[in-house]
Amino acid sequence: MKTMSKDLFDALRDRGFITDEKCDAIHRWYDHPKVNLYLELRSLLYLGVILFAGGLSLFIYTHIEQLGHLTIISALIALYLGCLVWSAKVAKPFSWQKVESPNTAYDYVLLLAALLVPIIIAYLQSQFNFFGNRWSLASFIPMLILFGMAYFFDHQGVLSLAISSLAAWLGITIKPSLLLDFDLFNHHELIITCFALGVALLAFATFIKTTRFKPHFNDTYQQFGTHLAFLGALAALIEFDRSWALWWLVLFALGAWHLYQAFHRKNSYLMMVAILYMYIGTCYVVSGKILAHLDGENEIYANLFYYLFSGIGVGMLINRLHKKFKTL
Amino acid sequence: MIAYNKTSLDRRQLQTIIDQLSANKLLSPEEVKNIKAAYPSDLYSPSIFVRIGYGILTLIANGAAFGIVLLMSGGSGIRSICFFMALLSIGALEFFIREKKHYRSGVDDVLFHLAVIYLIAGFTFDFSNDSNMLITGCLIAIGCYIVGTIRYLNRLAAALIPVAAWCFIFSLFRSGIPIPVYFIAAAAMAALLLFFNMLEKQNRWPYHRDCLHWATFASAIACYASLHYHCYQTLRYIGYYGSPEPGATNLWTIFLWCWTIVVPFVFLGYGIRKASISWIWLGMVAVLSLGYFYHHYLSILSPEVGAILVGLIITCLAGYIILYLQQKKSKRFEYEPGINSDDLLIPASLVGMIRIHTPAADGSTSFGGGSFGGGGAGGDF
Repeated sequence: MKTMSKDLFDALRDRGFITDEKCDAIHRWYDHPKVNLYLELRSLLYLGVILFAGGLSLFIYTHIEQLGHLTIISALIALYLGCLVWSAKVAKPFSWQKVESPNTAYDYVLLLAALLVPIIIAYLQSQFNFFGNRWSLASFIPMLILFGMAYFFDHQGVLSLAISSLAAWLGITIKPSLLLDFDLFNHHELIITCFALGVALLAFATFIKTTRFKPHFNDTYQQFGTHLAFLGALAALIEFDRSWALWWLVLFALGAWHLYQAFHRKNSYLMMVAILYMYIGTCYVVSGKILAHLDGENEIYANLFYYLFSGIGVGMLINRLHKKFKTL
Repeated sequence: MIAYNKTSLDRRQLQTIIDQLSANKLLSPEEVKNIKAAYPSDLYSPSIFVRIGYGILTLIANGAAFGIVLLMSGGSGIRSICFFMALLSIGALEFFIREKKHYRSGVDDVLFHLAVIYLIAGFTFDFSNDSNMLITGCLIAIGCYIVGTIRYLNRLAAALIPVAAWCFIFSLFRSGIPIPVYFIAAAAMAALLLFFNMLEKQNRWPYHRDCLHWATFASAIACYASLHYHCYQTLRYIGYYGSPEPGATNLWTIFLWCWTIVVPFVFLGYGIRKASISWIWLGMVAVLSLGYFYHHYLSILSPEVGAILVGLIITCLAGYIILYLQQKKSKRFEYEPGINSDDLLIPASLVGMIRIHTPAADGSTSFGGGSFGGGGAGGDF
């Protein structure tokens, strides 16, 4: 293999594609290959922190009586503060621009601290009724803390937790009975909230990209915004019988905006997401609203032909759009 | 034998190597651009998200076609319909490869595996005996996956060869599985592992190296599973029409547990010794899976205490290794953002292609499958 690699890069050098120095550097790299364990070790750390935090929450839940509430809450707060103080100590100075992580442990200690926030708040609320009946406050406080941590320490993982808390807070504020009901998409208010939050996050993602306030957080806001907005629009299309045509248009408008963004940023992921969400919505309209008026076997045939040709057609569309990416 | 044009495959491999060098900052963007422009590949291999999209759409269109044919036939002759759909899928697969140059695009993967499913369904549709159905199904699957590996370079098909062989061995025993069968299965999988590993090292199948790599790992997993305690517990109760084997003796149980616990560390140790990222991954996943099986069968600790302890151990261990690697003490491993060079392959034909100057393809030249363009004889030759 080494001989072959030498031959290949010598050939590239002879053809003038790489310089002698580059060729020597590549040979040295091939002659003494080092296996990079970056991804593996980070995955292990992530798994370790999740297992620890998950185990801890379960432990508290099952051993409340034996340990005593004050002991547990004190230990949790001590652990949280310990993580926070250590992170603040090693963190690089605050900046509104991207701040590089000082070391690998920093990312995961912060993640552990962020995971402890909802555990502590939930514990305070369930055992000490800390916030009384103001459940929305119990979800608002961790959201504020998490957003503060994400911006202060420049951590995108914590930002994801903060955005999830924001969604939970909005959901609980709009529909308090949500705490006892898992059938989320039966509630019209929640569907609208989900869609509105998605659009707001997309707008915010676009806005911060142009500012000097953590513009690199744009991707995280965009990810959440995209899926919340599309899921909200799809749920509205299915649930709102009178205005389904309007929601279909909204779905396509969202899709068009995402396709524009996909081409603008050369992002095939955004393109696929937009096309698949639009396709799902269209399939619902065609099968559930248009072809449903046919009777018996005709409906089945029409549906099958629709799925056959739409599948091929959308595939061809993706092919054409994807090939355009390369010419940009 | 290979459905794809070899020159196109060489060029694609060159681009992969160039991308890996670029990710490791050994080539500048300008150099990458120049090399890619001089040796463009006409194979269409989109990103993973686009592949998933293509896969879903192919599944929808193919399923709808099956439904139409089934309805038109009035529900009779399902066996013939399955064979027809298998032929249709293979025809479509060949079309996409030859005319549209799809290579691991999602469309080709799904079409091939659908064809295999139709073939198995066609052959086993009216079997009244479940065991015969399973045996026939496994044999057909083995044949199809060998073809899929050799002709279509399908990595999943390659990985499914040992899996199908493993199922075939166990499907031969209708009334309970005798203990020696577990050993026979493990030995057969070990033999397959050595065979695939030998082929991979020989470098005589450069275009199939990925497939051989996948088949080697699937054989290793199947070998481990043959004597895994959980598999034994599952298989002894899925006896084929017979009562389960009597309860395991202490010695047998101890052996199974020893195997279950020791082999993951053997995988991990082998990966570290050979500095192979794939074996390290396999070992890591197998070691982590021990936690689940331990909890399922032997748990002394409660799940929450187990999770806390395992979480702490993993975190400390990973932290220690990171600190060690950051001190640059290891000659074989490192901890730096970048891409591994573990699977780089340089076929001799690729070197030859660059030595013999090949001009960049223009719009009128179609490599592989076209009339002519440096990819061997054209389709209309």
